[in-house]
Amino acid sequence: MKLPGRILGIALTLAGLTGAWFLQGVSFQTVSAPEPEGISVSTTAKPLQLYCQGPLAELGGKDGTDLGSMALVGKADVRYRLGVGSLVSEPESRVTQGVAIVMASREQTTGTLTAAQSQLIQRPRMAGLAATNCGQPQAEGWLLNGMAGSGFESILHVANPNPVEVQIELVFHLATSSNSHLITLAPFESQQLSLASFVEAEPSFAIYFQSSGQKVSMALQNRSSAGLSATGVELKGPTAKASKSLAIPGFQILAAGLAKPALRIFNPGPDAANALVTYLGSGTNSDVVEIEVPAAGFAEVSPELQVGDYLVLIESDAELMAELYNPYVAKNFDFAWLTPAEAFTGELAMVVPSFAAKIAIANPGAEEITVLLTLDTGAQAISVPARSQLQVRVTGQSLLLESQGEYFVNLILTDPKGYAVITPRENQNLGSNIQVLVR
Amino acid sequence: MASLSVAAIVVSHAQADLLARSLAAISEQTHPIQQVVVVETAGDQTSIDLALSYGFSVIEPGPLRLGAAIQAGINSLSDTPGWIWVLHEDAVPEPDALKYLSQAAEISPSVAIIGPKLLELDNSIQIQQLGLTITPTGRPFLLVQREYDQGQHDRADDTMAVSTAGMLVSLGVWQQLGGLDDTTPVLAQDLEFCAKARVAGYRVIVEANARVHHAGLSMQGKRPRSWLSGSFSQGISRAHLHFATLYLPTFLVFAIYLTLPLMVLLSIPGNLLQKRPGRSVAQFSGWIWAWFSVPTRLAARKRFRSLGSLKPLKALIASRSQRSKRRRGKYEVEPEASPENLRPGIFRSNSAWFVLMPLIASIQLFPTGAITANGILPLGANLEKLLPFIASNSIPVLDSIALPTDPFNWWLLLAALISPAEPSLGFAALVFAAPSMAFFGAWQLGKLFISKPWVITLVALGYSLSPQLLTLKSNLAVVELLAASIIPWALFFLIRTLGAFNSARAWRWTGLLGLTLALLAAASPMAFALLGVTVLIAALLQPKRGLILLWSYLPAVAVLYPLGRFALEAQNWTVLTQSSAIAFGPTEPFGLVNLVVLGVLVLASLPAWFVSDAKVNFGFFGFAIAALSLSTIQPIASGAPLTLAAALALLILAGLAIERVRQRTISTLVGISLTAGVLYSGFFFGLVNQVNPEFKSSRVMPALVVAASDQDPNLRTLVLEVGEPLTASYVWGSGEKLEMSSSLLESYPANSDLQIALAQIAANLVAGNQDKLVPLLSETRVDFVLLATPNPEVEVGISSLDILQPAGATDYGVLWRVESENQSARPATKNDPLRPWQFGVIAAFALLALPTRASILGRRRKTGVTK
Repeated sequence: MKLPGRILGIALTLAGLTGAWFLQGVSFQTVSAPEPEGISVSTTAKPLQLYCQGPLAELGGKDGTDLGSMALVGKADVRYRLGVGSLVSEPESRVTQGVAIVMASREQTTGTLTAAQSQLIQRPRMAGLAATNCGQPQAEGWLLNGMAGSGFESILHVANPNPVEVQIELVFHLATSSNSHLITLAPFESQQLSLASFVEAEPSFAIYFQSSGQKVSMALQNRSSAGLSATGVELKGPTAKASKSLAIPGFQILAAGLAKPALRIFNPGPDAANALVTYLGSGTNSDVVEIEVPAAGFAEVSPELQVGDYLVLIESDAELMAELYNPYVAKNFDFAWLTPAEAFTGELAMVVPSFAAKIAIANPGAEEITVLLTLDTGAQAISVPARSQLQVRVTGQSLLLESQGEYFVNLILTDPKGYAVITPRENQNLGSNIQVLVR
Repeated sequence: MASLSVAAIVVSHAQADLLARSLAAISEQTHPIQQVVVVETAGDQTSIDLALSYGFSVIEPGPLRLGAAIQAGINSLSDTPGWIWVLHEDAVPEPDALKYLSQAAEISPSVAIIGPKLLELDNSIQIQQLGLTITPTGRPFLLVQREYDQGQHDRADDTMAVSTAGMLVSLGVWQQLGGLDDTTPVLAQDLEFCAKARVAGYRVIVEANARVHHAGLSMQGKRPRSWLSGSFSQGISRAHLHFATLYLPTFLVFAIYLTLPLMVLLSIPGNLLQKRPGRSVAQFSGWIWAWFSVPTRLAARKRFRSLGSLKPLKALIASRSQRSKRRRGKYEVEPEASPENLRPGIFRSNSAWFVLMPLIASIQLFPTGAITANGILPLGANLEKLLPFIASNSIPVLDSIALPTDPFNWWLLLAALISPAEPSLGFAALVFAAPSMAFFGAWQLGKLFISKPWVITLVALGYSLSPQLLTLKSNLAVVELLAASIIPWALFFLIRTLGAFNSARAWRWTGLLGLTLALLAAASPMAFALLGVTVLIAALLQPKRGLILLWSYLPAVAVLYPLGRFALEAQNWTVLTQSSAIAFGPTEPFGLVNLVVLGVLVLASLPAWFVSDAKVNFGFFGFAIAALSLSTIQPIASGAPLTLAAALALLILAGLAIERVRQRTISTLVGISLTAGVLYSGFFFGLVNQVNPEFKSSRVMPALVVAASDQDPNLRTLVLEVGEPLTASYVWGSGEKLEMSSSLLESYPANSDLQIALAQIAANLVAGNQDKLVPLLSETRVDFVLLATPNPEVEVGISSLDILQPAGATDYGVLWRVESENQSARPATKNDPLRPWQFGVIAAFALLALPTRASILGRRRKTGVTK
């Protein structure tokens, strides 16, 4: 081929390649497959069962000298709210031991049945307010707020509300190791287990429990003391499930200078994770802290915050669990562990124990939400701005919250002799509107 | 002084050019010819004028067949001669031909028919025919064929028959025997006539000194098809059947006629192995012809046998040694002398060692089990379990869905053939070897154009270790990777087909090309479209091999047929661009890596315009541009294989440019730079960032389920995955395998009443509601429930149901056995009636692709003879 022909060939080649390049600008239709849709199925759910752990347990007797003694002390007040349905078993309002509340109902929510227990105790070795949500028994869960070491005592309340025996595996996650323990509960049996022998006096530990059969009820009782003085007690059910995004409303610096609050984060995953903790102050400064949480380990930080109310948001690249220790001082000392709240949309019913109570409603979202708060005395609409919380005093025996947006709630109880925070959980057995994707 | 009176009958059929040479030769005969009669059966005026110009007699009897035409010529003779010399217009006798024939007739009074030595018209040193006979089954047999004439056969000898071209026959015998029988197939007419003469007690001989140059129009297929009533192969097939009817014993004739269909079918593999697929068509038509003309054949047999005993024929039948010699002779053809044959091969140049580099680059994929990453499922437990899902029209989802399985399943079949007992391992081996296959293919392709082994090796490494190909490997884009690995092979086979010097080789390369295109279509229909167009253009540009070449589409058509049929029914042609559920989605055709690599290749390949053939430049640059343009069209699937096809074409051109660099320093520098680039690519894209293939056992369900499915393949397991939403999978038998998937399922999801029932079962299971579960389970067959995602809450709920029997925690989740009476079998699925044909086509091309002596070397393998 002659030179002009070759040059023409090069020109054609370059033109062709350029044409191919420009073709990518032409938008050829990309076909996307339709998203598979689930089928909504409703069936009759099992009766809704809640379990209240009953009174606090005292180890070693009144003076602490009765070795091996473990006894429930006093009575716990149980308050519950009923919706539509038939109550299978109705508890006393003051109980001396754990009690189950069972209600058969087609629609199951907190509106159907919700309950909480409280106990203000004033004993030489144990004083304070212990209040907790009466939740559904669980097949597995985590208790993150274990306290051990000098001045602290943890007792595990375990109950089997079923007519069959269950075996429960307890796994204690310590800072550097873990160990497990198996317990068996007879039908309807409850036990209180001192954890001192399992946790090797570690200041922080987490407990994972798993039932081999029916669901069980668990709660962790913590007691603190300074010298011979009791400085607080609390009873808390399982913590919220691990998540990449957690919200703890109602955190209030109550005892500046006495003892520091502490945020405990646990990473159950196999890889280390970074957590970004934001303390969103209400009328005060906010703060952001980044914390590295080792794999299967704890990170515990004490926030340096000014006195005020805070919404604590925790975001991470891995699923984490958290609890926030908050000391309290009034006439007495006390403390509470604040648990990450569950996200609610729609309706949430709660009972309010007979103490001064405030409801902390948080909106960690990017848009303002309106929550309708209904008390025994009437209803009010509350606007919660984006990424903030509001605290509203509540009275009466129960309350009802309703919103189209997503909100998080903690109920704060205060008393001159104690302090407790109740974190509500949805009460529901699977049954209605189960979305099933069939392949 | 010659005393034999001879009249020449020349049968002509509109071949004036040849007739001119023939008549000129007749007019120069040294033996006097009493009269020459030209019988023009086509009424061609040029031929008539030509004959008249020689002063010969001409008759125009109309479109008569050969026997009638000769008879017409005899009838028109003015004087009755003792002998007639039959000639065709494509036969050119040498001046002494008739003289030698006449002398032979005079010497032996018992001789009634004498044939000349027939030589190729355009190659006068090659013998075309030197007497005819038959094989023991009655097939026409040339005693000497394709031999150079060195006088080795120059002696008068008895034979069973001679060709009518140049045949000298006693007129008396002709009339006694009734001449040529026109109800006989053309290619058996001379045989039958001569055999009749033999049976009647006359001799038939060949006079080798009489030389006639013969074009052999009939044998070369240059006559109108009506002349032979079909192709040459069909003519031979009919002649074979006819003579078998005449010659063989009665019981054998009937047996043959009854078993003809079976014989035709059984001979297909043999014909394909011999790379003569046309022969099967001829045999098929011969069977039909024979069945529809039984009375005529039997009448001919009666006439033949009424002439006398057949014993004289037996001694003249082709002997075993003659037949064996003839078979060997078929391979004695000119060896290929193409330039690439003179170049060192991949092994001779030690370049094969470089295959270690792509092997090392994919070492992390060394097969140790079933690949399970990226949604790739293990394959069926063995070939037997995998086979039903190849080219199937239903997939085992819910109560079976009428969707075609993926064309990619043909690759899975290949994997199963590699490792029948563990197809998953075979598939993993294919994936592991894919870059190496690409290396070998690119080397073979490069060898056809590039002469320096180091440059070819660089080109092959450049392709097999290119960032694009290694990215596919590292990302486990197995479908695209396998497609890219065979693109060089497809181009190589295409070019070899075009360059094949005989049809056997062309068929063999076409067989390989067909299978490669089928595999390409099964992995990347868009890449197949590119190659398909390339094949079409090549066929049009080279019509000599074009007709054979076009057959290479057939396996790909067979592979894509179910998908094509679905696309037609659904009027959705985009589905034709995706071949597998595990294929990758659209990619950016001009991403940074593509831009850099293609940019460098374009710069390196442009100088090829100045150093190599325009045809090569147009071909490869055109191919690259077409590939890049097509790679932008990706409605569903990735166009990555097309980008690689473009890169391959540019690499070949760059290789052509590089090998012409004469300055050693520059070529060394270029070589070092390219080697460094290839090594960098191999390390960075090959060894780093490899997605973990997650090799696992090919079992996808708990052992208990697998064992139970061996007993009852109809069993079903409901697999629950807890999440939002809850997912319930209805799994057949021993679990979902890769061959059961269909890319169409995403676009055409299942819609069955069974879904509602299964959703209700799943909901009642997680809710722990036994009351509603029992009737549902009696309607719907569920043998096992498997909770695949650990969820103690749900597990506790399910465990509380009496109807379920705990079967323990397994590696696949927690399992329960359902105590149910429902033992319903899976609904019967009706496969496409063309499915066996799909397999048949692939098998036929596999036979074509199998190497045989003729197709490998194209020449006889020299043994002791040539030492």
